[in-house]
Parts: sequence; structure tokens; C-alpha cells
Amino acid sequence: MAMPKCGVLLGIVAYSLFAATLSADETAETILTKYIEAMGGLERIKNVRSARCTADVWFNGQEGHVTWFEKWPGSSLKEVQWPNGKIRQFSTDSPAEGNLPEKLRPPTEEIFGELVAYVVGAGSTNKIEYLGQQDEEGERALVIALHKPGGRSTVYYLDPATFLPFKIVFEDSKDTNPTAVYVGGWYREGGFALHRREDHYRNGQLFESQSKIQYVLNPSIDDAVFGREPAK
Amino acid sequence: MNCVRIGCRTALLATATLLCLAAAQSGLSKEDIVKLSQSGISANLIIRDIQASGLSFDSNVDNLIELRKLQVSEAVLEAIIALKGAAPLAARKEPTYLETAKETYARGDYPGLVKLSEARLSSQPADFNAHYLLAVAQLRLGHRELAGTELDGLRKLPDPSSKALSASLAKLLGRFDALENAKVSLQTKLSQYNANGALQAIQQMDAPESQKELLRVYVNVYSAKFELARHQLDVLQASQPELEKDWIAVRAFVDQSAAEYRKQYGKFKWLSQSYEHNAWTLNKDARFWVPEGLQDYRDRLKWDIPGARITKAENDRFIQEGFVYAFEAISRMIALTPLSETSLGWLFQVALFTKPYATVERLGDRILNGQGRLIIPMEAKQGQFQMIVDKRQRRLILTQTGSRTVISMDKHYERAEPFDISFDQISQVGQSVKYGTNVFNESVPKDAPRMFEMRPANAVFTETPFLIHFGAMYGELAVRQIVWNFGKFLTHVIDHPQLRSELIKQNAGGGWNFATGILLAAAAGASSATGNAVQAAVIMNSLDRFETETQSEKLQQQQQLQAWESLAADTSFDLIQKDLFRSFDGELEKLH
Repeated sequence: MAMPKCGVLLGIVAYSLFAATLSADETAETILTKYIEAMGGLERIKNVRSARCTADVWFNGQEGHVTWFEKWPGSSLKEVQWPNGKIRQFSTDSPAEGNLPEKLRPPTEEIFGELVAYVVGAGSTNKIEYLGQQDEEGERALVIALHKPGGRSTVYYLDPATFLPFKIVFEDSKDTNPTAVYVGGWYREGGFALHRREDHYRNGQLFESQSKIQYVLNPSIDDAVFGREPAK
Repeated sequence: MNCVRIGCRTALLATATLLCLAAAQSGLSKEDIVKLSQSGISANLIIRDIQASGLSFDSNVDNLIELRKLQVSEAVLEAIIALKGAAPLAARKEPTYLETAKETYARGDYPGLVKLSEARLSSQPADFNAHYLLAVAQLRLGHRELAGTELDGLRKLPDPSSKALSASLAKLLGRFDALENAKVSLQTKLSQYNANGALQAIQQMDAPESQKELLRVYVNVYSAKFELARHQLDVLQASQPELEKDWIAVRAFVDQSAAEYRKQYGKFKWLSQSYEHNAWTLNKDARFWVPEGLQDYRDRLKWDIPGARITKAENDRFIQEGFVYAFEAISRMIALTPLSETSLGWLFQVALFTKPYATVERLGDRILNGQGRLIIPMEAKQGQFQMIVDKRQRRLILTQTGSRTVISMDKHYERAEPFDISFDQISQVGQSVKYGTNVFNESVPKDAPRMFEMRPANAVFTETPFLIHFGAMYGELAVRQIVWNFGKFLTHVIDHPQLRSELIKQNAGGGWNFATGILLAAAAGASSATGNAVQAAVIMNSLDRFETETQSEKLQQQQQLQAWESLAADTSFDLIQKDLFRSFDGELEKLH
């Protein structure tokens, strides 16, 4: 019983840290500004140049461990360790290793999500749209959509009290099965809002769960980690 | 001086009156009698006081000697002796009932309070407090009608105090009734698999917002949306930390449900992969993993030992055992997440394999009416697909969800192409199943079945998972029945006047009886062997309910008691009722 109680107290403390206010005449820009502030603020986010992230992962029944290495501007490496298996690596810089490099996202997007990447990225052709305050699965939510080329959209459902997302849906006009990700366990560290858990669904089916997510921001990461040829 | 003397007398009378009032609460004490005697009040007056108020002490020899030494008159002592035995009872009549009743209620001994109040009313039928407390005790015990009877009794009493009490009681019963109605409404929506309807029923309840949010947490857990449920609890904790202790148990429920769901889904997924792909036998690094409880089963299969062969009997036993493990895992998933589209899709799949058509149709209709759509898994040459039967939009949608990892298995399946068609685009439906013989010289599906063909769109639903293995185990009759059930149900759902249906012939006598008999026997055997009888029974009960609900009221009641929707509602409503009574308990303190 000690653990849940500890969790409850942490939840109360964490939640109160994120309290923010909502005015009647919000727009996509004002909501986005509050979201960025809730995430840690633009300047602080821009100063992150590397990140290491670890998590326990459950994927269709198997439980494993995953590590991400990110180095700005564009290097990502993902290592997955399944039971009784060797570590599998997928890297943006060494595509021969695995078959997933095209699915690896650039560092800002991987660590902070697409909305932050949209704000940080210059000259993006993406567009944002504020869809108002809605009732989403029984919960009040500020809904903001990021529309991308090719009929793809990412819809964020933000908690009106904290401006942090509890649900993100990835839609594709060519695919009738949007992927929904529920995000939770928000906490604040070094001025950033970071989360501990994610549940991924496709067609209503939970297929991936991440827990005990831990971030280390601005660690020292050697380029060799990504499988890149050392500079001569 | 006169004035002083008059003042002394007044003071004495006042003291006597106060003592009498005190005695009215608990009887006269030794000190009271000594004071009265020493103050000069006559023995006659003191005796009358003793007779009216009783005594709060025992009139034993020592006390009598002590009183005599303190100049209490013999006449007074005689009155004390005469009252011996009766005095303490006389002193505690009505106040004692109320005190005892309040104490009994505070202890939570509601049956005790019923007995106490009924005894009181047998001697004092006009005691409004007893009517009131008896009603509250009956309500606490869930005896709503008996509580109403007491309210009627209370209303008939002429005493003005009873009017105020009956108004208070009527208000309590009104809120209780509203909650009970809301509970029935919620249970109905849950039993219809209608998650949105359940959320609406919760929204309309006359209950504190925090309690309504707790009910939503349950709905989300039942929908397998564990992280959303955790988010709701975080919001609750931030808004009302004083109710933390109520939420700790609910948070534990969320976490335990999530962990158990993942475990069971992992087991089921592993079994389906071992059937359809033999994936772990070929890809040993990423998939060489066996879920808890299946290591022995996996080892006995010997599929990864080069040159090892298994007999026909062993093969049959493995398939049968695998079905039982898979169905047990599904039964647990349904018990944990009965509003999850995926769980319901698998429940439908189990019904398709094990139940007659009438049950398949009732279950399918109930899911479609409650959820609006039904997700049916499908196997094809390229991998795994899902067909969404969307009743609200009147569409059938097929999408690919996974790729085949063992290419050699693709020859067993028909190729499929994704589609998204409206019911009205379908003018003709058909099916095909062909049989041949296998290495064991038995009849098995020869070519990959086409369980549902839709023209002119040329859309094909190839086959549900496990059909090949089920057919190999239970024969052509069983497969024909399953395929026909499937086609018949989809035809029933599409239902429009222009639809022409050419389903395969299901043989007289039906294969399902044969298959079901074996499967249920296997399930029962495995259940008793593993001690998981309750778990395995859940799925069979879920399905049986659709067959028996019109036949046996008693059976239905028994099943209802064990049903998940009752568990959910009762658990949540316990908290809501607790809150209702907590807010009402202050009223009891006002009783006098």
C-alpha cells in the first residue's frame, strides 16, 4: 500500500506544478504558446542539444527495454532489448543495421513531440488549428490539430488545467486506423515537463506500452554511438 | 435578612430543580440525595424525586450505611430500598434507547439497530425516533421497501417532531432512489456493451462530480484505456485530495487490471503467433520468448528440434490444449476489459467457433447496438487484417494490421486487399470452402477458404484466425458451420432488399455440436487441472447468458450476481452511497 500512496502524493504535487489559466478568447497561437510554456519554454527547449531516454516497453505481449540516443540536429538511435535476444539497433546514421531508420524521428520530435518541433522548426509547411474545448472520452480537453502534407494530422488533446497532452491521435486520410497515444505521469525536472508513461492503440487495440520513461537531457554522446564513421 | 432567607430558599429550589433535571438524564446519585437531605428539603419531597427519577447507584448495604452516616433520613432510605432493582431501569428508559441506537449505528451494526428499534416499537409504537432509525437501518441494509414502510408509519404520527423527521427521511430516500435508478441505467448500458451510453448515464447522475469521475475511471478501465483512467485519477487528486483514501484502491484496481490485461493479451498473442506463424521457432532472437505458464506447453511441442516428429494424436492434443489456453486468456481479457472493442471482437470469434447461430447473432447484434461497430480479425496471405463492421455508418472496412513473418505459411491463405465499402454497394454475397486430405489422411480445408465474398466490389473476407487448425481438429462439418454462421450473420447485418445471398450449405445436424462438445470438455478438463475454473467459466457464462436469458430467471439472477457490470456498479456505487450516507449522518446527531 505504500507505493500507491507515494504515487498519489507525487501526483498531487506534480499536478499542482502545472496549473495554468484559460481565457475565453483562446486561439491556436495562444494555446500553442501556453503549451510550449508548460513544456518548459522555447528557450530552454532550444538549448537541448542531446538526450538519452530509457523505458520499459511492452509490445504485443513481449516485455523489453528500449533506449533512445538523440543528438541535434538529426541523429537518432534506438536500441531494443527483447527477452533472450540480442540488442537490436536502428540508427539514422547507419541504415544498414535495421529496417526502421525511416521511422526514426528527428531529435526534437522524438523527445518533445511534433507540436514543439513545429514551433522550433523554421519554414514548416504544417499548419495548426485550434478546434476548441471539447469533451473527449468524458474528459474536458483543449483540442489543437497539426495538419501536415499528404492528408496527415496530429491531434493533441490538452488538459485545460495544465496545457499538457493526455491524448495524441495520429491521423492519415489514407488510413482508417488512426493511432492514439495516451500520455501520463507528467513531472517537472530542470524546468521541463516530462512524462513517465505512454499507451499506444490502433483500432482500439493496445499494442504498445511504455513505462518508467526516464530522460537525461544534454548528456555527452559520442558520434560513434550512431554508427557514424569517425571524422578523419 | 428576609430577603436573604427568601434568596436562600429560591436558591435551594433552583438547586433541587437542577438536580431533578440532572436526575432525569441519569437518576439521582448518592451525592444528590445527601445534598437534598442536608439542604433541609423534606423527606417526602426527596422520596417523590427518587420515585420519579430513579437512582444512578446501587442500593447495596455499604451505600445505605454511608447515606445513613451522612444524615439521610430513614424514610428516604426505605424509599431507596423499595426502589432497589427497578431504579436503574427507570432512569434509562427513552434516552437509553436513543443513545444505544446511535451507538449501534455508529458501529455499523445495522442488523442490530433493526432489532433494537423493532423491540422499541413493539412497546412504544409512537416513538418517532425509533421509526426514523429503523428506516435508516433498513436502507443501509438495502431494504428499500421496509425503509419506505417506516416512512409511512412516521408520517401517520401526530407529533410535530415526526413531521420534520419524515421530511428528512423522505429526502434521503429520494436521493437513494435516484442513485438506484442511475445504477440500473448504468448497469443496463454496461451490459449492452455501450460505453458511450454508460458515460452519458454517469453524466446525468445526481452525485458529486468526483464520484462520477470515479465511475468514468471504471468505464475506461473496462475499455482497456488504462492511461486515460490514470489521467482522470490525477485530475481528481488535484481537485479533491481529501478523498485520497477512496482513490488509492481505485488506482490499484487500474494498475492491476492493466498488468493482468497485458499478461493475458501476451499469452493470447503468443498462442496465435505459434499457430499462424511458428514465428518463435525461426526467429529466435526477437521472439524467442514464452509467456508465463506456457513454457511446458511450448517444450512439449518439439517444433524447434530438428527431425523431431509428433504423432497425429499428439498434434490433436496440442491443438486442443492450445485452444483451451487461448480461450482462457480471452475469458480473462473479457472479464477485465468487457467494453474494449478488441475483447468483444474476440468474444464474437469464440462464439462463432463454439455456439449455434442464434447465439452468434444475439451476441453480434448486442455488440453492434452497444458499440456501433464490431472488429473481426482476419488472416490472409500477406498477414493479419481487421474487418470493421460499422453499423452506424453502414460500412465494411478491411485494413491490414500486421505482416506475415513466416513466408512459408502464406500458401495456406488467400490474398486479401483492403476495402472500404458501404452496405448498399453490396448486391451479392457468397462463400467457398473446399476440402482435401492431409498427411494424416484426414479431411482438411484444401484451398484457403473465402468466408465472405462481396460483389460487385469484389471484396473478400478470407478467414478468421484459427479456422485452419480448428478445421483440422474438428473436421469439415465444424468448419462449414462456422463459415455459414459468419456469412449468415453478415448478411443479416447488411440486410437490404436487393441483397442476393449464396451461402454454402451447412450440413444437417451441424458441426458445431460436435466441436463444442469437445471444446467444452477440453476447457473443463484444463480448468480443473489448472485450478482456473472460475476464469474459464467467465467466457462460457458470457456466452451462455445469450442462450439462457429467456429460459431461466433463476439462472440469470445467479449470473447477474457474478457479472462484471454488477461488480463495477456495486464497487463504484458503494463509494457514492458512502458519500450519500456520510452527508446524511449529521442528521442523526440532531435526534433527541
